[in-house]
Amino acid sequence: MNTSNPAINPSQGVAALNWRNLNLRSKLITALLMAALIPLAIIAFISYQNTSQSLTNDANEKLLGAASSTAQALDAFMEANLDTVRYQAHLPGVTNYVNLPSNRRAGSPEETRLLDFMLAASYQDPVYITSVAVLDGKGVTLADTVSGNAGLDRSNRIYFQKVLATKLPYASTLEYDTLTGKPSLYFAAPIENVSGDVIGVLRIRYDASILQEIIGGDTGKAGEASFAVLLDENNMRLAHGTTRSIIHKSVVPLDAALVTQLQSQRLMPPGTPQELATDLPDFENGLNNFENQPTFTAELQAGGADLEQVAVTRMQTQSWLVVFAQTEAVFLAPINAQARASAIIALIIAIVVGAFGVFMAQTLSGPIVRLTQTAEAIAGGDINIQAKVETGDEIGTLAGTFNRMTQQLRDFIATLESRVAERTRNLELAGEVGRAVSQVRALDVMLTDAAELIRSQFDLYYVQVYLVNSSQTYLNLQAGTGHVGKELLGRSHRLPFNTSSINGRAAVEKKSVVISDTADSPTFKPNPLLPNTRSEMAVPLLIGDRVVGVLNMQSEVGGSLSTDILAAFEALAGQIAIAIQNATFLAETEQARAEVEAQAQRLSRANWVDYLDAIHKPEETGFMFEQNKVVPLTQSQQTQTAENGDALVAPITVTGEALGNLVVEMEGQSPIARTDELLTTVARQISQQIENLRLLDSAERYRFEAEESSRRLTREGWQSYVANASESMSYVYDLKEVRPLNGNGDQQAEDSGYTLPLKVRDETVGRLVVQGLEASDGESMSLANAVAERLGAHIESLRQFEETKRGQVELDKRARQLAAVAEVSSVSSRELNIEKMLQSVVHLTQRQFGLYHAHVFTYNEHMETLQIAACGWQEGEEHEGTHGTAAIPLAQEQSLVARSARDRKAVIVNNVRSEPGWLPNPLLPDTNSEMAVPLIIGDQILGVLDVQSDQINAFTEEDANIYTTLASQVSTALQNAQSFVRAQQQAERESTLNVISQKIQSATTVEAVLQIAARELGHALGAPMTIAQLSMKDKN
Amino acid sequence: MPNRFFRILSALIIVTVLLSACSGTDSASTEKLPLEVGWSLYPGYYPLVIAQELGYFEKYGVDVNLVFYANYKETTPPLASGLTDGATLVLGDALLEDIAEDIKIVLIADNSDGADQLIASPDIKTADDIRGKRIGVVAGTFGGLLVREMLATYGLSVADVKIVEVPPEGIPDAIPTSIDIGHTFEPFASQARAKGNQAIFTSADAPGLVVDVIAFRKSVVEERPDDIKNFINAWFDAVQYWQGNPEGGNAIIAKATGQDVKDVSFEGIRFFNRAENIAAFQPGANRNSVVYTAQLNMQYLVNIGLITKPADINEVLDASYLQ
Repeated sequence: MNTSNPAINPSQGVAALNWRNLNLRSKLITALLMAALIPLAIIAFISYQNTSQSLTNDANEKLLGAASSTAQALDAFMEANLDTVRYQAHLPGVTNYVNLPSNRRAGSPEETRLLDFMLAASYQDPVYITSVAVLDGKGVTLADTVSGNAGLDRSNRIYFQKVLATKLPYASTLEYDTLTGKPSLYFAAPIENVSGDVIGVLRIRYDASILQEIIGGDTGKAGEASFAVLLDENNMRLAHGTTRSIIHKSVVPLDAALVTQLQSQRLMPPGTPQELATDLPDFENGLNNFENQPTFTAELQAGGADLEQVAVTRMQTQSWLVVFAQTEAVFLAPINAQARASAIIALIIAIVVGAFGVFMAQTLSGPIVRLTQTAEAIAGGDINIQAKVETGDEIGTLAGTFNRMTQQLRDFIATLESRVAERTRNLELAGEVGRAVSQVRALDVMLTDAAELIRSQFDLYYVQVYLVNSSQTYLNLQAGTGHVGKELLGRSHRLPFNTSSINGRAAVEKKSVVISDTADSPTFKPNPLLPNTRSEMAVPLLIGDRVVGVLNMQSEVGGSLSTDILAAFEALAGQIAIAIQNATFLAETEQARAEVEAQAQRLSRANWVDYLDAIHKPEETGFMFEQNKVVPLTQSQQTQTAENGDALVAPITVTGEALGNLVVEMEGQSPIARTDELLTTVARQISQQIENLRLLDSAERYRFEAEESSRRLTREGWQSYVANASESMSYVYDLKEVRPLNGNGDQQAEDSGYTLPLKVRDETVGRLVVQGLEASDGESMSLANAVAERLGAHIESLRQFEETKRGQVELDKRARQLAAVAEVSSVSSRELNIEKMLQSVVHLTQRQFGLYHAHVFTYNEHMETLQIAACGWQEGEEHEGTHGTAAIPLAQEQSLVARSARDRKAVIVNNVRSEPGWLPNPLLPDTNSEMAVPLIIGDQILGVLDVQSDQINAFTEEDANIYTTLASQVSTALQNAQSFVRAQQQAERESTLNVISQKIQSATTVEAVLQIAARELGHALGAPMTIAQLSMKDKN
Repeated sequence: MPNRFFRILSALIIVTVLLSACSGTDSASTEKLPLEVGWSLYPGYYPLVIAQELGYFEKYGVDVNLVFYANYKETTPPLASGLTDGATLVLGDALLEDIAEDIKIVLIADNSDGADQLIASPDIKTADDIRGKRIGVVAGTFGGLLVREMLATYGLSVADVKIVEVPPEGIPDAIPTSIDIGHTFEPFASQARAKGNQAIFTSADAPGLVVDVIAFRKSVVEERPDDIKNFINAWFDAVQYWQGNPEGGNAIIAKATGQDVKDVSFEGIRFFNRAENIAAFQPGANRNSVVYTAQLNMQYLVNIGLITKPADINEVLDASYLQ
């Protein structure tokens, strides 16, 4: 049931019965029901239509027949009475009396005979004939069976006038008594003399009920609930088979004027048009149109719920209509019976089909439903559940397939953990290899080591490294493992820089190529030297966007080098790329240095000394480019140039100190725009290159100093440890109390007592001194010895227990810290934005190591200061964003940070309050321990990682190792990022500098720099003379 | 969801089936109309007025609409044609062919016990006085029967007199101009006597001959037997009230019919209570049995040529609603 969603609900109420949401069983049963019931409904509908039509036709036939028959009966009544009144008017008893002169009539025998006749005539219908009368030719009543009417003048009555006019018998329409409204029907016939003159009128009056007698008597003639209605020419009902109350009322209200006229003619009873009418326009319309449509359907009684089927016919003797009607529902009753039967059949079919549907659903959807439940259980986490294979059809197959799928799912989940572990291990291995290779400076050695390390660590078949040559046309094999590597290296194996090979493709597309299984790969080309390769991977070595080479790995196990472990190798490749770059830098530096040395060797000893001192001491060295020749500048020329007013001069400065000038003598206007700018740029290039050369020397010196300092600090640390451990570990008992051993008094006592050594595993760790103990007192000695022995043993066991405990805690801590290091490392290697990267590192470090605070300082070479680049305050914390605000000069003595940077070594202070070299930070009042770890790449100090704890003795040597590892990761990342930044900056510079700059940079000696500068600048500017000069002489 | 779906589906099917099964039978009830009972001025019929005025019909749960006819003779055609459901009428008229075939006589209202009178002008005393005189009566009614009974009493026959067709209402005015003797009843009898005329024969002289009945159409009796029974119960209550409280009854009647209270009485009327009714419906050899009296009437009607095919008297008389 739907319990969770109140919205479809409704709206949802019935909306909840969305077909798509129904279960299979409901759909199946519904479909079966539809299939069974829809045809039945259609058949029932058609049958209903046909039956209804035929029943209606039948009813119409019967009604028309009944109406005709009733009309005939009425006509017969009329005709019979007309006949009767006609012959009676000619009976001698009547004519003789009327023929008498009026004065002889009263009391005459003719009168008696007339009265007898009239009485007899009234006996024709003793109930309905209410009067028989004889009128004279003037309309005066001569005799009437109703006493008191004799003598009344009837000449204005219609029957009298009609008979007089036509001389034929006449049947009146209904006439209403003007006083009582009582309706009557008159039959009249002329009384004629022998000459044929009308001398009187015989008239018979019928109570109008006679019509009702006839009409009412026919009720039911056309079937159950059928009845007749008689209407006059104004559609006023004269008789009604069922409803007495609407007799003498018209079907619709008549025009008021007509009503008044009819009433004056006694043709309507008294009353208003509304009182004398019903309002049934449909009936009226049907009646008015009956000549064309003798049967129709209409409501015959206002407020009656039933429609009547109506048949209309006209009488012969009167212009009256006979209507026969029957309630539709009655003659259509068989249809209802049929509908009931259909409905019962439908119900039975529905039940049978429903039961069948349930059975089918059970057989068909039952297994599916159970399979669905199984699937839901699995989705809910129970992967051990099995679907039951119940049938041999598709559903059974589905269940079987499903079981195989869940089996695979189980297997997959089972292997997932091991895969995760494996991948973690791969990453760790990659990190390890990366760290290892980053320590090595020589490119050949480093790459060879790296290849071998990767091969052994990942248990590969063969690993090789290609480097891209400078023109980007070939990939030169740089390192390869085993004898295959040696052989290939011996052949100077290389690959074209295009997509024809796996490695070429990786380099060109800057995308790793993985051939998980060589058997499945169309592109794999086997190397005859490496017949066992089953899986291969080529990872481009990228620095920024630049490909420097390709790391290629091959395995004997198919599928072992897959995209699964690609991430590890790509990380590794990144580290190797950086290492290559570093090594390249180093090699370039080495080469530069070698050239310097070579140059130096070429110089005479005196010149060499002078040269070395040249930067510090004023010396004048100069070259001049004149007439396409570079010649050393002579003393006289120097003076000359310096005084030439047309010359453009740019100073050559190193670290702000002007070392010389670059002078261009112009003759008139220079052909090159922005000559000044070019000159200045070239001068700056010269300065930079000179400074680079100088720094190279400094680097060598610093490295030596760093090694020296490292050795010194290690020794000092060890001594300090010993000193700390031996303090205040002596106690004395003087029969009163136990107290710590103090200087003088106790020293005497100690000397006078007997000393027993405290030994642990034959190692003397202390002593027990007892005063007054004699060596001869064997028992006391034995006791004292035993005590000393127990004491030693117990001290040892206590120490061991403490160590074990401490070891356990340490072990847990290490595990957490290593995990943190891995995380920090992972984060830092992903981020190229230095600021963001350092921020992530300090945050992670501070949180993961549970530190009070963490900073990273970066070293500014120019300022020689350490600046806070990132601090552990998080967003929203009070001191967030304080980084960059504090700068510590490298030389500052009172700073652990500065000290660690200077010493290139981690500095730990476990109680900062007692450390004079500690620089308190007012924002960090709770700092009790601090450790500063330098961020170093090779000899270069990049910065310092500074961590602080609010605990005393928070950091150990082991921690220092951990943090150093962390720092080395951060350093690599930092350098990587800085390289990236530098690469970007360099790209910008290169775009603005021209060929000159490049050529200047290629110079390896100061002389060469100055010569090239002078020549190239001279060429470019077309100046007659260009002088590049190093001179400390103040121009002024 | 499935439970709810099936509930709705089965509900739909059941509702459909029931709807189609019920249609056609649900509109069978018909409106119950009041019993339309025609009556005219005659003391024997006045208990109807009392029952109406005192609410006896409502008391018994029957809806009655009394239809008044100024002329007694007008009462019969509507009953015969079905324009009324029932009427008060004289036994003889109920036996006329057109009426008898459609009605059931369910109650004897009264016997005329002096109420019907033959009023004669003051000079008529003996049989000889009567001979050759004009007698006003409505032929074919009990009036004619009463005239025959009177003539027989005086040793005369219809052939000895001249029968003139005069309705009872016309008698006071018709004597002595157009007739010498006439049949009438109250209040016309008093009016006629007030002119100096005299009664020479009354229904008291022929006990059981003039019987007033209440008849209903056969179809109504068959369709609404309880209404008929309740109508009869109200009738007996009204008779009882009037007999037990003549002045109160007279006042009610006078007021309802617009007569002077002194003209209203049940003098000359013998009402039949329930037991007497039941007894009178038993067959018998004298006029105590309405069956016998009906046969007398029937013979008379046949004799004067008013009947073509006599009705079965036992069919017309029906005492079952008196039980």
